[in-house]
Order: sequence, then structure tokens, then C-alpha cells
Amino acid sequence: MFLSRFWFGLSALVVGLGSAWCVVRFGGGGTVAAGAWQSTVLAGSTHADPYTRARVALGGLLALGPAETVYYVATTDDAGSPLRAHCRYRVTGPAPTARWWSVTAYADDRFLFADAAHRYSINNASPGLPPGQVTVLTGPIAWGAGPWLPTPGDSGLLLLLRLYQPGAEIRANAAALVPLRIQAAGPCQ
Amino acid sequence: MSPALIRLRKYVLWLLLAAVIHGLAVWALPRVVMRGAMSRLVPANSAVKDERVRVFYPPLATATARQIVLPSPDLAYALCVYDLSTGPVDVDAALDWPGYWSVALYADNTDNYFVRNDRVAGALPVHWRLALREGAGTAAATSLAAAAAAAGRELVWAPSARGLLLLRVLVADRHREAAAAAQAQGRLRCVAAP
Repeated sequence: MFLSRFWFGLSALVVGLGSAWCVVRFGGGGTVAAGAWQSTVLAGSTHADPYTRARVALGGLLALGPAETVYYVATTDDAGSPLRAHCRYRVTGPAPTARWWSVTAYADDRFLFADAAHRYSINNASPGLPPGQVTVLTGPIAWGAGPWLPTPGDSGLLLLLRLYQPGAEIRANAAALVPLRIQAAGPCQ
Repeated sequence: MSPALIRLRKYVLWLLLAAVIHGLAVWALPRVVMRGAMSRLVPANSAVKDERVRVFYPPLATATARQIVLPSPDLAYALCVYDLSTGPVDVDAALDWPGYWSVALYADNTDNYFVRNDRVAGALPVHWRLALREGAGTAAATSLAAAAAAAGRELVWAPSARGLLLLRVLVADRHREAAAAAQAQGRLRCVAAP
């Protein structure tokens, strides 16, 4: 009798916790896409549902609400291939409508890549950008003509586009972003 | 009751139990993560520490910053972890900074329940009294509102006793503006209200 109740409780616990973890970790609810970029629409919002809150807690704690900042994450290039730190990518497109934008590269542990010169992000004040355009080159060693983000090592790569005080259209609908293209550029190191 | 009915009741109970555990886990996760972050982000040697508030002015994020995922390298942060269960906290942020800055308040479930940026702060300065939300019209709420007004402060109701305040100062060029940003960070003040 006791053993039966034990297995009854344990199996419910495993299924309850396991299903919660799967939905939070792998579920895509509450996100919209703009090209290869994904945005969790209600990140940080008081209107977020419990699943969005749980996802934000794991992947983007202390996010600002969409009225203040909209975040876009890319983990694949435009062809759908996973981004890798040891490969080169060219990120290009029209500058997003926002007071401030920045593109930051993170390793797959979601922390910054080591760089002695602290080149962690390209933003709208970075030198060498064509007017009204975004150009970011990533890779383990410097290449090409344009601002470069170093991505040393052999880990996965995550690109995060932050828009501070975005335009009204993006605030209302994060999918309205004209997506920045992410193209593989040449062989991996 | 027939054996089939007993078995069916057992399956339904099992499903209900698993669903409750699922719901509790999803509900608890952000609160557990937030509690951990509040302990981790503001170290024991924080600049200000009393029973209601701890304040910390971390340096600009680098690759060695491992307290929280996806740190922004473009922002100088200042943090204030508060506990309003024993009384309100006064917050001031009088920044003279040419670019974007904001002060955001987070509840213990990760919700960003209040934010004010530099553009709004020109007309509505960050001169707040932060208090745990009381029922509208109750004696406690009226008393807190009167005390905040007497102190010349805007009253901000927090949905949870414990929470976190985050000052963000946008640093366009970290090599040239790091020292100025550190000064701007220092303009955040969080203290227990008298």
C-alpha cells in the first residue's frame, strides 16, 4: 500500500516537474519572429503569463518591459543553421527605429566572450557604420571592412539586439522590425 | 464502486496531482530565480546596508561578470535590493547624464512594475517613496500617502515586499565614459524612510 502510494506520488512529481521544465525550456509561446530574430513579447511586463515569466527568469532576468526596451535574440543564421563562435557572420540591415540600438555577442552560456579590448557590442554610436545602416562582423579573428565583434572559442553563439525606446510600430508589434540579415561569410576557423 | 471506476478515479487523481505540481513549479521558478539573483547581485560589502535596503554599484560588465545572464556591456548599473515588510524606502536618482538612463522596479516574480527614463524624469524626477501596496482607501494607505506628500515625495506602490531596483545608464563609449558613468551611478540613493 505504502509503496503504491510512493510510486503514485513520485511519478506525478516527475511528470509535473518534467513537463513544466520542457514547456518553459523548449516551448515557444509568447515569442514573435522577425527573420532569424526572436522576441519574447511580454518579457518583463506585468501582463506576462506564468510561462513567459519563467522563461524570462531563466533566459533574460531583469528585462525591461516592451514600452521601454524590445529585445531580439538570434541563435541561427538566415539559412537556419545554428550560429557558432568559430564561424564568421555578417549582420546587415537598416538601422532599427529606436533611440538606441546595440548588437551584443554572447557565448552559449549567455555570458560575454573574453576580449582584452572589451569589444562586446556594436551600437549606433560605434565608429565605421554607414549612416542609417547596421553592419556587424563576427568571428574569432578580425576580418572584412566594418565593425567587428570577437567571438573566440568553439561554443555556440547568441546575438542579442536591444532597442531602447523603440518606435511606436515596433512597440506595438515586435514582428514589425525590418530584420537584420545574418549571413555566414566564409569558412569556419 | 466498481474496480474500473476506482481505477479511473485513481488516474484522474494522478493527473490532477501532476497538473498541480506542474503549475506550482512554473509559478515558483521566477520567484526562486529572483530570490537567488537578489542575494547574488548585491554582495555583503554593498555600499549601503540596513534592514530594508542594500545598494551596490558594480563596474561595467565584462566577460568575467557572471552574476546574471546576458549582461549589457553598454550599460552602467546600480542596484538596490529592498524589503518593505518593515517600512517604506526612499529613492532618489538625480542624474545629469546626456544620454539614456532609467530606473526600473522589479517585483519578486520578475515583473518590471514601474520604470522612469531620463525623458520623463525631466518633469517627474525620481524622488520616490516606495511602499508595499495597501488596499485603496484603507487607513494605512491614506497614512502612507500623507507621509509621502509631507516629505515631498511621489508614492510608488510595490506589489511585493521584496524586490529590486535597477538604474541603467547608457554608456556609448565605455573607454571614454567609464569614469563619468561611475559618477552617474553614484547619484542613485536608496535609504530606509524615516
